[in-house]
Amino acid sequence: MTETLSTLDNLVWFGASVTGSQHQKDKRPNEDAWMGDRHKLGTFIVVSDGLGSKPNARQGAKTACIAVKQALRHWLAISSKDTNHDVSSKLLLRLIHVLWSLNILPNAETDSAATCLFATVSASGKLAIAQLGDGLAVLREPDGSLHSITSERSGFSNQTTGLGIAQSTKDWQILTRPSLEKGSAIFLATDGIADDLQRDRLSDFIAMLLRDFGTLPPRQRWQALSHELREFPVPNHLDDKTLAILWRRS
Amino acid sequence: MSSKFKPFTVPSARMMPVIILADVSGSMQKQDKIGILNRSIASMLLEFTCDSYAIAEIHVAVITFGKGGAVLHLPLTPAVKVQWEDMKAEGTTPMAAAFKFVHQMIEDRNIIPTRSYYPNIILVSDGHPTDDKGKGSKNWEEPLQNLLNADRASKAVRFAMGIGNDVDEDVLRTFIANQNTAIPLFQADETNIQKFFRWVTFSIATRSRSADPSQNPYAYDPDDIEF
Repeated sequence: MTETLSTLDNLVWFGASVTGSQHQKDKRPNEDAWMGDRHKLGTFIVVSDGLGSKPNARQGAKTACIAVKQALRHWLAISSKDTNHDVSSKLLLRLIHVLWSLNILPNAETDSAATCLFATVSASGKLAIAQLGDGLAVLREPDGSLHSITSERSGFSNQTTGLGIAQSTKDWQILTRPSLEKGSAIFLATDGIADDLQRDRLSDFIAMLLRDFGTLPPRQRWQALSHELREFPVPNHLDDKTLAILWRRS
Repeated sequence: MSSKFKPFTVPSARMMPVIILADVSGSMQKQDKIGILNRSIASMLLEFTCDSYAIAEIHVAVITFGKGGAVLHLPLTPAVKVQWEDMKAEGTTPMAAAFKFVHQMIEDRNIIPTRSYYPNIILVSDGHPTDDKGKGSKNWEEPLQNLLNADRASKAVRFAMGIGNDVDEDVLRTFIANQNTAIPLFQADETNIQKFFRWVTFSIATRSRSADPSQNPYAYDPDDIEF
């Protein structure tokens, strides 16, 4: 069943990003970025982690967020006009790569590599979640069950791909659904958080975020989340930390 | 104010594994090489324990190869918790079995989780690899290639020390070849085994303090480090 525009009215998005202790010590900026936005064609969240060994990592991550926003505007516009055909999500991914490559100029792509995780709900209610590189992208259903699109890491910490590295849309993981059920939420996080979460507590963690932060006024929520990220309870945590939530309230 | 995230996060720092493959064949008794090796490892453990600047939590395992094949002398344990027990030198040099053992250990995500930093493998030997019957053998070639080509084990940073004149340099050089940062083979006699371990300790400690402990180390020349 196709949802109506009222779907957007129940969508809440929020997030936060803080500089990790190592970058603070080195007087370097936060090399993660996130964005959430909404317009008449859809709502989205995106998080990105500029790869730490790259000189233009910060710009790479910020540009990833901009590229997703721009690509979604075009993709959602075409999708909304051609309701008889499902406009390929691969086209969206290719568009993100192209726009990121253009926007990153004159810097070299290899110096600006960044992961890219996003989720979008169109005005007609369609859901897409996608991930390139490490981090965590999870759909939590109202009954607490999880659908993670993150493939299990086989190697070690800080081995990843991203925009500027991947040469094919095959490197992405993507999940699409005809709708986002009421009470469902999408959780995105960069690896500074994702690697240190207990996987068997993940559903409860997302539930806590919705309960304790989702209902706060936006500014207070951002401050409270940023505080939690700065006081991250894992010993010797180093990385920049970013999370974002897209939630369809019941 | 207590952290709302605490019940949902892992309570420990990320691990940096250090796995020592120690030759404990009978020849290691000569010139008390085994005694010096024991003291060197104990000293390295003490250094790791005292390193208050380390970001990664260093865990150490020791796999011996000698009498009885490859044996897990010390399971992967946080350096601060190790109660070191000396190794004994006896038997032949079944190095192939040690390569198989460390390969299995590194590929096992229950032993070394994916949130760990790249592991380090330290190979120490004073002789030529042998087969199960104690005869000189090239049976190390296949397990070593399997180790070097494995998905996870290939990411390990590898150090090697040959002790004395009867060492098989071919196997040690193959073991340390083709790393992102070239790491030299350390050739020792019984007087400078400890120097090798000080150099390795320095390299690992430096990496464990760095912004990204998974990056390959700067190749310090052992002769450039003064202690």
